[in-house]
Amino acid sequence: MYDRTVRRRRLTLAGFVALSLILLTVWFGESAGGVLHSLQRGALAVLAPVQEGANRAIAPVRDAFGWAGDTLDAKSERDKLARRNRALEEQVTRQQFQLSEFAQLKALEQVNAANDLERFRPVRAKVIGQSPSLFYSEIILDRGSSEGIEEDQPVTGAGGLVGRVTNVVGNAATVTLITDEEFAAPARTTRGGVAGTIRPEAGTPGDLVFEFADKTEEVEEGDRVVSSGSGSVRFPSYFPAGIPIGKVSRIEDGAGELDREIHVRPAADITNLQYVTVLTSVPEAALTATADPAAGATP
Amino acid sequence: MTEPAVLGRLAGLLVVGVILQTAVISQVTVFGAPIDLFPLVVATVGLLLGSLGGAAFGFAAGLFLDVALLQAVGVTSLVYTVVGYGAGRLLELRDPSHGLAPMAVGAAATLAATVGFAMLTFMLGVDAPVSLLLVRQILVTVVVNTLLALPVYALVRRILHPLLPEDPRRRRRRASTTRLSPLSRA
Repeated sequence: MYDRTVRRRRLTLAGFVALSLILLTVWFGESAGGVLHSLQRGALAVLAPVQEGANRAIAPVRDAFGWAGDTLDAKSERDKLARRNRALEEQVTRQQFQLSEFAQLKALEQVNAANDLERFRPVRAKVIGQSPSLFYSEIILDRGSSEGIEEDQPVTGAGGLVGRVTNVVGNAATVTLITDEEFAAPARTTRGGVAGTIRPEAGTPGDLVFEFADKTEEVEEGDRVVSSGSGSVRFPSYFPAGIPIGKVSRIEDGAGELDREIHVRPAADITNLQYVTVLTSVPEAALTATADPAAGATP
Repeated sequence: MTEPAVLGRLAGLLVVGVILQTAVISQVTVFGAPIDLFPLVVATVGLLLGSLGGAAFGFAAGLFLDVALLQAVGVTSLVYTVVGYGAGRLLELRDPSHGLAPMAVGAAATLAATVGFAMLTFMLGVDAPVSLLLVRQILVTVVVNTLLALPVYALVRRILHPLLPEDPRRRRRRASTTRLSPLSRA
């Protein structure tokens, strides 16, 4: 009895498997007009209306499921797009940073070319550190004595004079900016050639004062100020004549001529320096020469 | 109940099931994978009727699906025959009466059906790469069907209930009630 049951079971399984394989063989072997293909088309013709009816009848339920599924898909899609958005934002930020670097480099080149600073063997350096102080008085460069940089060499940035080298090691250098409280440089205006000394305004980062000017009444707002070489004995110059320093931004009148305070806005954006140029070979003659008042420097 | 009544209910289950599956259920997708409840239905029938009933229902269901969906006739019937037979053999050998047994059987049946169908399709020369997407779809289908196994089992059991004197749950309940009843000791 048991054997018969087992045999019957196995026979049934074998029969159905064999029948499936036969059907498969016939289906693949016959043409499109064969029995099984015709049967399928007939079944389709019969079932299609029924399926359509069922489809319509249960559409709200299916839509509800679809809505749930779509919501999950939408969340997944949202997360994917958010990730993509973040990646694109990073890319844009990177490109904007590169663009700003490029703009600074271009401005730097323009300053060097316009003021004939190429003759002083400029070495381009990247700013790798900056004083966290509000007064931004010092920056660190990625070039040092191995590139020919020495102490007291002038440094220019996009726009004009930035400062001078105060410390050097083999592969780095620090630059004291023109906004440092101890900075002073002989300067003159390009219009009228009024000579004086440029110093930082105490307590106001980014603001310079044009002091000890001989003819302050001749200075006007908008006048450009450039380095003038060592015209003053009191303050020996580290800078060759003709480097743009800034533009007269406002003039505060005092009781007399000597009380007139001339404020200069630096030509270089001291708070946003990425690249600077160190003038590594400035001959003594260039430091002692005075600027030609008629020469129009380009800040 | 007579044999024709069993066949009638199975045929009704088959026709309505195929129509619902093809017209409605297949169009609902979860994580990109369409829901396919037929492995569960076939496994449940096998689990309730045994290997012969499971194999026969699996063959018929597969054939009907192949015809209705204009697929290569024989592929689904071959896969579902094995699935139905396997579920039936489990009933005959282990007689699982645990409440969660349909979930385990449903998961195994779905995995066997999806993998078997994919393998047969590839062997028959369908030019599709075995991609990660396919593996993901199989896994999603298995997970979804595992979650749906209990309701499908309950529904199919309800349909076939009057024809199932050997329903393991009913048998278990009856046996346990008999042991606890004070009347049985008398």
